[in-house]
Amino acid sequence: VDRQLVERARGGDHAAFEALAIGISSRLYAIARLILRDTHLAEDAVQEALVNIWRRLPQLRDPERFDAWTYRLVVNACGDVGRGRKRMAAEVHLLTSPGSAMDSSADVADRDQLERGFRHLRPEQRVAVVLHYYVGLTANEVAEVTGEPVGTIKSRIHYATETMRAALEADERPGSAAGTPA
Amino acid sequence: MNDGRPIEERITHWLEQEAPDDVPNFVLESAFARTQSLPQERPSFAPPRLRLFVPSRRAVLLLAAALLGVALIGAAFVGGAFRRPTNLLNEIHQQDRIRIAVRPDHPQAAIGSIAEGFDIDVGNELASRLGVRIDLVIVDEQTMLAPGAPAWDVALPSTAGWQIDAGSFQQSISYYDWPHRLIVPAGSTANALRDVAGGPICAVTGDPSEEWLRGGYGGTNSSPAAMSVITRQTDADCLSALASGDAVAAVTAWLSDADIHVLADVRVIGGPDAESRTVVVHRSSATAADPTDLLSAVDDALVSMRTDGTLKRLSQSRFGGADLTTP
Repeated sequence: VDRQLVERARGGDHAAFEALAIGISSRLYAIARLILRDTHLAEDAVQEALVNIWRRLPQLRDPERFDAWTYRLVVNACGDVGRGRKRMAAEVHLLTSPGSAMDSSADVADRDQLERGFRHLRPEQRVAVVLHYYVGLTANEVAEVTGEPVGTIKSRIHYATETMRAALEADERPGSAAGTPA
Repeated sequence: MNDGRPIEERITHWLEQEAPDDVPNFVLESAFARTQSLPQERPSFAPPRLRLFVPSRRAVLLLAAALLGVALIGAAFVGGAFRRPTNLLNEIHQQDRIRIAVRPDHPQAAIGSIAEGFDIDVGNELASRLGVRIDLVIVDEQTMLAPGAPAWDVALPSTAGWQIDAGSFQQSISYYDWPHRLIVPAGSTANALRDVAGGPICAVTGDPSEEWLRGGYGGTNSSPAAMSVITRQTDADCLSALASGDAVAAVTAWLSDADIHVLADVRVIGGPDAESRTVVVHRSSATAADPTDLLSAVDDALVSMRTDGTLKRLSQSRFGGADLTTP
């Protein structure tokens, strides 16, 4: 992140904030969309996160921590909008999608089963999975973002991973029914 | 399919494939619009260090008694024992401003440097008829109706009245009725809901049209048949499902009759009753100004707008010539 932009935005410079926001919004949107599994809620979450980033920037002591700090705000926003609509746990009927021509058969199979496994995760487990496997944060860094003990985060990542592994293995067993609604 | 890759690698690969590309522009535009007038929260500085002193026991008891008295008086004020709630309509007239919340998307056509849309038109007309200037509060529907929502005097959430929390909000009379249409491919032989009851039927996730298919429309069991429902994020996604054969029919969420009319490859075969949409005020509370008179004034203004044709004109100008304001 551009430290000077953060400093200027922290001082109330709207142009600097907008430049910062444009730079980080795609990453925040991806995180929100992956956690919430809902395009509209993710859009709402990113908007709320950006507004909160603007409001609270003066309270950010170390500009070097900007990225991790924005992850915390978007994760919090996901919790807020998810609670508002209770969609994070909404039942979704999955259809086996044909996939694009670029997909390998392994990717298509993984996609459906991992999706199913992911939807069985609790919201806090989804957060840990997305920050760890997608953003690439260590368990310690995820703990810093979420403000929770490292042991708790490690446990969440472990159980979430096992849940998704089980979803894959269930499909790999002979006679399993692919495409069954979650 | 077990392709030998570790589970961690497969999860990472899946998440990277699932991640969307860029955030839609309107999200950034809405956030920037909101932050333009939003002050930043500056950190508070620690007060000057006070000299330490040890009070006597008598002083401590006196101080505790005084604090208890202040707390009781304060609680009585908060509880309304010494203060009648003020009248919100009077406050609005005194300030010569009304804060009207609208959502940035449907039924607004565009929000950029210039806000446009049906609810904004109605909000402007309401302010005009109340004789005050308008402050538009543009905020998404969930935030608008959530606890701790941004401050507004009236809101136009453009959502089904039965989905609004009656414990927190009061509603005006309906000012328009949004249709949900059951559509099938133009070449389908279906002519009614029963012809597609075997499904699957596509609905937009969380929309009242999904509730209709699942039997919860309007809070009542109004669905006439057991439905196989699939959900998608947008009307466009449902149209794609229709085109690909993943769904035999779809119920629209935000597509108006005018939108459907220009789609040559679908036709309408039914749908639920139109969804009544209302203006919303906060429910009365002991600590907030009383909105009762404001709600009556809004109702009067809406009746007047309906009687003189204003609502019809605004609807026709925003919804491709359709009048959604006449029940």
